[in-house]
Amino acid sequence: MISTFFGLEIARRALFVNRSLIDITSHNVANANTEGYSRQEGLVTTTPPISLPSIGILGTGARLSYIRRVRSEFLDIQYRDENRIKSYWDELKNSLEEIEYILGEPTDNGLSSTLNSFWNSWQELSINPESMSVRGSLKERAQTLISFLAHLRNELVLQREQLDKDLEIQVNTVNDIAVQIGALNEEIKRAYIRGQSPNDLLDKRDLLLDKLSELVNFDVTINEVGEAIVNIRDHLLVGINNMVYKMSVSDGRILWEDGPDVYLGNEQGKLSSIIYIRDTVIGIANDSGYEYETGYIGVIDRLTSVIYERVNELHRSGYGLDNSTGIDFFSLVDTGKGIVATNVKINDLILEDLNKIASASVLDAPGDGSNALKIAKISEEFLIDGSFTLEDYWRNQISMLGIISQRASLISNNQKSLVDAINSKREEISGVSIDEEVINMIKYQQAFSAASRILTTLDEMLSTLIERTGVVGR
Amino acid sequence: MRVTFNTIANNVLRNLSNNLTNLEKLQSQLSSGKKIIKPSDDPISTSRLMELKSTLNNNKQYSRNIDFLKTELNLADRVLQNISSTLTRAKELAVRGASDSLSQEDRYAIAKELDQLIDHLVQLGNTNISGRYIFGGYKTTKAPLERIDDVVLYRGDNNVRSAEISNNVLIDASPTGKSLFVDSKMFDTLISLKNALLDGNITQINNVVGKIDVISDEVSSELSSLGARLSRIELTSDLMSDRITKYTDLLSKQEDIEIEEVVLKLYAQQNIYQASLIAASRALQPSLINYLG
Repeated sequence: MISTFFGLEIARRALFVNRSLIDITSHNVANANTEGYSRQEGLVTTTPPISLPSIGILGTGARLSYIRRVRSEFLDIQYRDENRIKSYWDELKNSLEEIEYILGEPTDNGLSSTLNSFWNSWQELSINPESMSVRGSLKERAQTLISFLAHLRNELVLQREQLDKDLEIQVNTVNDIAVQIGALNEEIKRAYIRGQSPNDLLDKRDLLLDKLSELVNFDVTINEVGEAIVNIRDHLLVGINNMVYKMSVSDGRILWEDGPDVYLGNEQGKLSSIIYIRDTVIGIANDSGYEYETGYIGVIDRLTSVIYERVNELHRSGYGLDNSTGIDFFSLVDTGKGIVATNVKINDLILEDLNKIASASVLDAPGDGSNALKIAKISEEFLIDGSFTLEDYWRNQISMLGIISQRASLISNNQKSLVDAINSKREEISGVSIDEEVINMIKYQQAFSAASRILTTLDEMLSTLIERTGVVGR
Repeated sequence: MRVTFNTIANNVLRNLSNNLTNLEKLQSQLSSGKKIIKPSDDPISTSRLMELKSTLNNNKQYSRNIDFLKTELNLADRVLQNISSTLTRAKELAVRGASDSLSQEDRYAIAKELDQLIDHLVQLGNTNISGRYIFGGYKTTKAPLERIDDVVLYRGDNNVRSAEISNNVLIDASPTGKSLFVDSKMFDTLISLKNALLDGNITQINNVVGKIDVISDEVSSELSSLGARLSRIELTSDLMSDRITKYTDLLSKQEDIEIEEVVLKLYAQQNIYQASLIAASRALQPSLINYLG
């Protein structure tokens, strides 16, 4: 036997279920543009039926059993894998482009042209060794060459410092994200233990993991209480019970707070890209001068020191208009430091008296420009590894830069398309469609109205029963 | 496939930004006039471009060297011709002075003219281009010849200057005063002629006439060697200006945009961009809500 008021209960359930569904719709619409949000749907199930002896099974209405987010974890993994590579090449592409602009080739005011003008000034001197104006213009060109080399070096050093700052910022971002994930883990765990799915918190955590994938390569596993355990190679970043390991930058290296180096891997995320650009492309600025080639700073230092040594060597063996000999053309600003562009100047003796520029190969020979010609011919000597002229060497460096920069730009574009495609797949599954939500809203509204109508009808039926029955015979 | 508003919005945004990037690239090409702005635009062309530019600059320098040498050698050529005609005049004077019919007064007069010729030759030997003495060998800053009474001193040296007129091709500049005046004993001979005239020593005068011929021959041979050098320079000069034209042309092909082509592409790209804007405005139309009562 069922209760008189049983119908009211079913209607109440219907009202509750449909109002909740409207609330979910409303939440979806509100978050249609929230980053990382995945649409939610309510799972409505029938409530346990009642068995009526000799009649059958009577339904008892519906209930909202679960609210879940619609999301594909597989796409999350794919997204993070590709995004990591994309952000590596993105960063590389941008930095390389900046370096290309710094080096300024192939414009008319690049190093190649400046160097060329310098050698041509010596040529000019070789046919005009007596001319003070030619000597004057040679001095200017030499000065231009030195300051251009110094400018290039300074810009590269500046870029390097900028990257160091960047690295610091990005490492802090990783720490921030780790802390936030740790905190979210705690909240999520509490919901999990209650058997609920904390959809919005999960979305937030997934968004943080997406952001983290821009920076480093990591593995993430979700344990049975819903905590995300994040590992970078075999070191924990976020462990259970909100245990977070931070990293810091020390001497340009990224270290875990408990000591070891953070493993970044190759071509994985922004951090490894910054380090690659800084150490391999730009190189280390060593004030003691060129030793071995580290990046473009090394290239500039190598060019500077070869020009410095060779021009001086030939210059010392020549004679000036005043018969001076054994004089260096270039000298160091600070003799405590090595031959680097920022530490090179034209010898003071020459600046004071341009007659001392040694254009002649013999004594008492103002018309002899053969030593100047020898110096001009340095441009044709195979001074780099015995097989390249200075210009060949520079040209090779520039075309190498062009090639890697072009490659970076290509891969970054491809990777962007890939990430975009994965993103639109994600959007396809998890995105909020306003049309869909509006249709749902109408559906739920109709159901709600109908349930209200049922309630009214039941109410009328009961009031008939209560107020009108038993009136007969009164 | 489930399409949401964001799917469309993202697509539209991506397409617009791609189209705008292409547009920007063409516009920057058009405004700079250059195909290659940074090495990654075309690494191989960049390398060739740099090589072409430096070859072009070197050739321009050679061209300047050629002009410089040409000026000097042309001047030297004129001076040598002048020397040659001066010697001819000296010979004429010698032949006249050897004549028995002349009085000693006449010979004095001839000696006086000869003296002036010697001064003239010294002057020629001291020819300079804005203070640069061309017959002094390496010693270009002071006059190579100095006459003190009946002695002409050479203060230059025996080094022939030269200039590079194309890669590793060195061409000698003017001959030195040593080979012109000292080795040929030009002044000694003329001064002895003058003294013979003053002394009226006809045997000696006749003796000198033959010597002047030898000296003239030497000057002529210097002249022809100068002429040979000049024509060689002329050839190289033509070659060099051909090369400069060729390289400038090549450089422009490598480096400069074809304006018509880029403008055309720019128009096409502008149309594409506008079309994508229109498409965007359609695609981003409001949703179902606008049509519900």
